[in-house]
Amino acid sequence: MFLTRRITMLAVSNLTKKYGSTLANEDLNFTLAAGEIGVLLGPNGAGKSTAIKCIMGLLRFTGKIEIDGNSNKSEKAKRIMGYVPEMPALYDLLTVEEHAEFIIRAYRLDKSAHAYADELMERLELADKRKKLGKELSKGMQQKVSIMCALLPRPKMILLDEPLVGLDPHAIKELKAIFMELRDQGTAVFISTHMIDSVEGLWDKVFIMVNGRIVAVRDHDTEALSGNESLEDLFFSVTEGQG
Amino acid sequence: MIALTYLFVTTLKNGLKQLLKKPALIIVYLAIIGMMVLALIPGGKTGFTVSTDMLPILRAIAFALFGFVTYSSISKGLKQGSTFFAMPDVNFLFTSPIRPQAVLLYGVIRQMGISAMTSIFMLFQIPNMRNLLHLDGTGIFAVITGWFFMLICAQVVSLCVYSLTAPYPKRRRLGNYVLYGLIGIVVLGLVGYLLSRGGDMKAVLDYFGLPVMDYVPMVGWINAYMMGLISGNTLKAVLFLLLSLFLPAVGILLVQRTNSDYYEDVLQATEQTFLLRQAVKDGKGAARNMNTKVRAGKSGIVGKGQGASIFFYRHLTEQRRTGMFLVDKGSLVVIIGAVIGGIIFRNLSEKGDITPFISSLIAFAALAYILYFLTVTGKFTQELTRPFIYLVPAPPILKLFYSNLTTVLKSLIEGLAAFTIVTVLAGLPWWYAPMAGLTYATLSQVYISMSILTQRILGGSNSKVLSTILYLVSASILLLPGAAIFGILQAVFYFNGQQFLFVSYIAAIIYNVGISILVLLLGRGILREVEM
Repeated sequence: MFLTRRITMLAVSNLTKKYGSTLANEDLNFTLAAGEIGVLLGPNGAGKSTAIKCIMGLLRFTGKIEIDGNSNKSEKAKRIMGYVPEMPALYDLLTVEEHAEFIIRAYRLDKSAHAYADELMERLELADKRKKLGKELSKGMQQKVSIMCALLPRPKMILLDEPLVGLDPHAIKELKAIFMELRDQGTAVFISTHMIDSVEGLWDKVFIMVNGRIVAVRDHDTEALSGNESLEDLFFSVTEGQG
Repeated sequence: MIALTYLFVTTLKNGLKQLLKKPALIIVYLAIIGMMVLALIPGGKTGFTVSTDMLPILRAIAFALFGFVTYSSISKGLKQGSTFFAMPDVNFLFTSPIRPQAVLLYGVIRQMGISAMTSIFMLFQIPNMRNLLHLDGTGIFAVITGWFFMLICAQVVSLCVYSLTAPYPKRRRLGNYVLYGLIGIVVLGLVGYLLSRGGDMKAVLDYFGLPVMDYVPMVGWINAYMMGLISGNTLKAVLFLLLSLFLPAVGILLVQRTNSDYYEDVLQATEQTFLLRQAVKDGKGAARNMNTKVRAGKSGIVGKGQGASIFFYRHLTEQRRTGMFLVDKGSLVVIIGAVIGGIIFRNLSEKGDITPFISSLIAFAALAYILYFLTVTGKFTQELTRPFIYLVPAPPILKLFYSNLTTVLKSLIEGLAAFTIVTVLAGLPWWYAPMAGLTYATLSQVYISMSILTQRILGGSNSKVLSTILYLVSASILLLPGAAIFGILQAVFYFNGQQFLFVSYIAAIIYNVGISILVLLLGRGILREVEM
């Protein structure tokens, strides 16, 4: 367990992203180890989604991003990454189980993946919706399918952009349980959110982002919050006056 | 590629299965196929053939149309780019270990399918191509494939332009200079040619028929391919086809080879399309393109306004930010249409090909047709998709009145300006400008009434089929009596000396105002019954 948690799974160095003259991310530097849950906290418009998209290889940037020692845009890195986007968007004409089949083929997963897909569908209460088309699902259901697809390749690192938005209480509870299991299995879990309550008690590392910069980092093991200090207190203490 | 093939085949298979579940849709498709088959069968004389050689007109129209498509695609490329992809592709394909080159190929093939589908409407023009343009099978093939190639090239060029210029503001500026420079050259060339040859329609057609026009990239090439096939010059057609296909092929290779990191280039356009489609799905059909740059400028609602009148003042504030006072880009289209129409009517009437009476009718019908599209995407339709009009505590009739007021005033300004231009240019009687302008403005209210009536009857139902049928029914109920009164009076006064033709416009104005007020009174419950 100790050894697993020391392997750096995500290493971001000097990440800067500009849209024309607008600076969305400025010189971001952070790491996340295997078996750690990292939370990227920040107000709306802080640049969290841009950072997530840079890590997922959807945007160009300056600086360096490595996943388990591989460039984030390499095939090797993509094979071990999972992604739950902020906007769930499924293929209208693919059923839930066909989405799973598509992921199995895209990631060239072995036959055991089918059983894992069934298990995930069961856990996320999608089993009775497996024959439903993407366009027939509600937003919350689409979010669950997105989560299933991201978990299916058993990624070593998973990024989730506002994953709890739109989920019902049962799904939120189940997803939080999944986060803990992933951590125990040595997966690096990176969650971006602006809802502090939703991640209270979950995190190993927290990164607070304001105006495109990371203004505070807390490591749960080495810099635990003092006394009665909550994540909310920390957030407001570092963000007030930064806006 | 296994995953991409799976995606492609499964999507197609499920699409067909979905179709089988909707008998009404099958009937619609069968009707379309039936109409296409009928269109493909060469019939006898339709009685509406034109004896003159229409090819120069076809060449000029194709040049203008292709020019517009090319301008739009390059301009889009310089702003937000184009995309072959949908949002699920971003979420699932871009983040998967599938090679970006394979993903791009998938996107191109998918786009070709979409372009082929959008080219289907050209098949309905086959009878017109046969009868009006005297085109044979080869000619029709040339026009349809030309349009198809144009759509493909436009998408690819847009993507390439964005890919090559997006990260570099200097290149974007340069791209704009080149684009407008090229347009400037073509327009100045036209003006110079018209000055040297005399400004009639024949000179315009001759200009677009100049051999040098074949070499205008994309626009001229595809046009030359079409004209080569139509005129039996196969070598010219093949050469220009190769040249036309060479450009998108190089473009795709360029993006693929030099920039395998192209995901960012399509991300913004894909997200934009996704959000707009979501808005349409959620019933916000009149949603604006969220990428449109709007400056807040002066803050604060124009004027004051309280209760129901706040809708009018809010619309004024929005107009201030998106247009000029009450007019906008739509008004510009109307004015340009009026100028072009006015010039054509003047030329035709000088040659004795058209009477002022016919000119006045065509001008009114054409502008009334454009007005319909400007009105259904107008402020009132947008207002119904937002909660405020239902929530503000004010009498419903006042809320309906005030949320329509900008549309009335805009149509009035537009109508008076456009019909004054037509009156002056085409030499029509002085009364035509105010009469037609007022009829135009009041007609906008009849169009709005069609929406109110449909929504009022529909209530909470969201059935698109029912809504379309009801819209057609309400159009018949509200528009036809007015049109009939107008038509009969026009005929009566035309055959009685023509001095009192203006009376038919007054009758139409009275009818339009009357029926609009009646629908407003009957439909005021819309704000209680309609579900968002």
